[in-house]
Amino acid sequence: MDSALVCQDISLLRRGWEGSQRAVLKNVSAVFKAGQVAIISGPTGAGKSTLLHILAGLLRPSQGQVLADNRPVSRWNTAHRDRWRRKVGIVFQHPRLLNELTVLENVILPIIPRVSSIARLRQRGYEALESLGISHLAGQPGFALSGGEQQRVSIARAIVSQPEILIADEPTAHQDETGAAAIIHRLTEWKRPNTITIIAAHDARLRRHSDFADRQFELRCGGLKELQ
Amino acid sequence: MKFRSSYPFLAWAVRDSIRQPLEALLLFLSLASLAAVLGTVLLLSQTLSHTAQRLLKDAPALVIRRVGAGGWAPMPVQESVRLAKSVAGVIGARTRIWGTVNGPGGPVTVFGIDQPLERAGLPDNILLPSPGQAILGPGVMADAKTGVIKLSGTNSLVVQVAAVLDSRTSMVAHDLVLLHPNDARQILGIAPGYARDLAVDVFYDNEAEALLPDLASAYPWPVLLITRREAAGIYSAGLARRSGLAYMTLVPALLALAFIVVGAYKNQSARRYEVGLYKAFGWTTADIFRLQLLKALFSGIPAVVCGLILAYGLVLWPGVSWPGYLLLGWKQYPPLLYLDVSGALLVLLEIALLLFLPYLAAALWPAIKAATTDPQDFLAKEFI
Amino acid sequence: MIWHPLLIAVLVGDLLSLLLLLAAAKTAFKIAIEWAPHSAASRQIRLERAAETGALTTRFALAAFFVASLVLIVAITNVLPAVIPGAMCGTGVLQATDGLGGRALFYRFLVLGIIYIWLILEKLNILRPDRPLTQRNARVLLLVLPFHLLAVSTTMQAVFRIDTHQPVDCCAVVYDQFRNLAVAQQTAGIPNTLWLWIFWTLTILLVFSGLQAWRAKPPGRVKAAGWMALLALLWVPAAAVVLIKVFSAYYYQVLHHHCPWCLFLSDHKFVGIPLFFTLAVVVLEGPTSFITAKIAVTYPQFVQTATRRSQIAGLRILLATIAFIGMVALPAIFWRLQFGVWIR
Repeated sequence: MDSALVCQDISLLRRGWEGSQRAVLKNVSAVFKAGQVAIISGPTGAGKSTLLHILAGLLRPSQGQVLADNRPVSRWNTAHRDRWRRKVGIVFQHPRLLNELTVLENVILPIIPRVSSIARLRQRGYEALESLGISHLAGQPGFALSGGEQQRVSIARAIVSQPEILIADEPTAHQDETGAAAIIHRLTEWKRPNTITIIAAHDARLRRHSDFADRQFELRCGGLKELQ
Repeated sequence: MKFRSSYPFLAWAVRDSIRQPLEALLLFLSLASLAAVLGTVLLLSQTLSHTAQRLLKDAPALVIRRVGAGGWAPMPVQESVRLAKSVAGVIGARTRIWGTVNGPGGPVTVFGIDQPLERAGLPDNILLPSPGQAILGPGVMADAKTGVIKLSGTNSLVVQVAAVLDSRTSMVAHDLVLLHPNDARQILGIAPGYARDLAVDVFYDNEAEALLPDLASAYPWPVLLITRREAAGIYSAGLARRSGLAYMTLVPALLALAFIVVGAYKNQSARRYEVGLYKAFGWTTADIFRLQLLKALFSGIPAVVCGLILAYGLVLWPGVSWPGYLLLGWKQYPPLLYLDVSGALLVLLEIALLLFLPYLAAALWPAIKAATTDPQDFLAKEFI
Repeated sequence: MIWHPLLIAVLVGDLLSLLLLLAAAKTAFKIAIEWAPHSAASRQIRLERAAETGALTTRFALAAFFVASLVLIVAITNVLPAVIPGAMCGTGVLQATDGLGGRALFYRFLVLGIIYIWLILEKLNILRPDRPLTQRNARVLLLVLPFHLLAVSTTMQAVFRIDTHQPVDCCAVVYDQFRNLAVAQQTAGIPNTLWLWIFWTLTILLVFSGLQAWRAKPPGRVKAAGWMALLALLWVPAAAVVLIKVFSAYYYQVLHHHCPWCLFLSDHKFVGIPLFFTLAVVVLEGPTSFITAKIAVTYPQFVQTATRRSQIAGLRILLATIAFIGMVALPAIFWRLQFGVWIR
């Protein structure tokens, strides 16, 4: 059976001003299959990032569940959820680099507990940077990079652990045409029969590449709809 | 192999600890100096007390002094010894001739020795002083040119210095002048056949208190009886009074510890966003706990160890003299301290735990909080 | 009441553990009545989150209570006798509490025993991501709460009862138990020699049942583990009686000094610690073996881990029994070899 990431009636309530509750997501259901790239678009504040965070296991929904390979991972205890999250690579909307560390150190952050030697750590870090054409930045501190470079570093960080599920929030933000093309190319290469890729994007460049996205969704007013 | 997989982790813990080198250095200095201050104060009081107790074990079980209208009065030697030995439980009694007189540089304690028992403790190469001779303690200054010393009590006497005791006797003999008993009597104004007090040894030390009524009633004149335990208590009380100032350093030291702990907690709390980031990338709570633990050990242990080594040196280095100035009130030529090291390790361990455990708890707090919190809750704090 | 630092530490630890346990019990109560693992409704999701926090809080409560209990035992055995006039060991200290100290210790051991079972179940529970034992564990926690309250309050009363101006008489407690030698040589109406026979019989049965429980496979394991648990619970009091009434003489080298607390003194090399530790292991691991064997049968997802834990419990019982036998029998044997007689 193909693996899949499934949202089942996901709702998220947030406490607003004056103690009232606001539904950020309402009964969102979708199936994201392995070997496919899904793009989720929608207006600003629709809850795209929130949905991605729930799918990545960073946030638990108020109602409903996320199933990975038919297992309710969002309902698991923290220890098991942390271990499942090793299969997930996440690119945040803002790069979230640790500024006092070098680019290479930022990239290898996800795999430090799992790799047995420092040499192997460095090798995998360089490989991830090389795949995005930014290995020359390895020794630079995070704060010295431009926004676009930081975003590419954060993508390298997401793929260094060779995740089965790649979740990216606006990966082509701050990128010029060349940079965006390189990222789209890399993400296209990343598409494999056993990987699930979910991207939240405003960027029309992503939607324009027809051989890139297999499915497109729109999130509006807390609900998710698949676009044909 | 499990051990090998720790290398990157250990390296990361070290790297993360020195990400902000100035902060790391300040923390090191704070912890080390706090350990040094606390260690010095607590170690000094404990080892002084312990050493004093050990030295006092060689003191006589009881001391009897005759009390007169003007204060103390001399005791007849033979009669005093006979009356003491007549009490059941007393196994030995010897008279002592001693007192405080003026010497060069300040008051000194003169002690007349002639009985073989009082030779105990003197090195074999030092002969008992003959009339006109003196053996000086390490803190008594003689005239360097003439080698004589002038002592002024009830009467004055100039005696020749026959020997000087080793500096290692400083704790018990710093201001001591050992004389022939006739010379001691002359200086102190004690008539022949009389002595200052009587040192009594009993069969069973714990029953010394029980003998007090019998001893008091054995003498036809009023006597003051002091047991070894009372003497130790008087000494401890005196030490405690002088140590009061030293103990006042404990209050700011504990405040400093509280600041360090709060600072560590706030620092770690401010970095909870990083904990969220680690968890987002697949680090488990156990990984984060391990990282925080290694960081705390890496930054805390060397600092505490350095501080405690400094404290150990300040207190237990053979012949330290600064406590004499600061605590015992000496203006010049303070006694050199050769303190008993037994029990010191336990005190140092207690101090290490007192300092390190709260710091460790503050450092581990983010990992504990991360155990059940969603990573997004930490990540959302980034911009606050 | 004496404001001894150790006693203050005990009271602070107890209060901390009580507060934590009450916080955890609030969640445990909701879990016990509302737990619905197949539902993904918001109430259940919230409860699942609270269950994790509750489990962590309970662990902290256990740690605080355990540390407080250890400190209390150290205080009773080796610190407070120097402070209470006439007390030479823990017997005198407990006498100073007017009987409340013994009761407090009993409640504390009971609480620690139940929480130990909770901890075993929780360790199994967190091995599975869906935590199937959560509701069962919540009920165990609710069972602990009243005993914990009793333990904390009785300890507090016992501590407040201590008066250092009121001397106690250790020897009166130990030696006034019997009017003549005939009475000294029996316990609860049973002669000590018969207690020895009971002890050795139960020991042999315990060892055999332990071996059988070790080899058995589920579901037969449950019955074997059940027998072992029952034998363990019978063996411990018998072992305690023969330790105090018979074998302690070889440590004290004095007849009829039936005081368990003197074994904890430095004069006797703190031998009471390993001796009573082995008894504690047997009394805790006996029920553990049975309960984990039952879990292995009731929850198929735990069959391997629970069976393994049950086997480990059996092994620990065996080792503890052997260690206890060694510690009581060897001094007796050495005495016999040295002097040619037993002490009696």
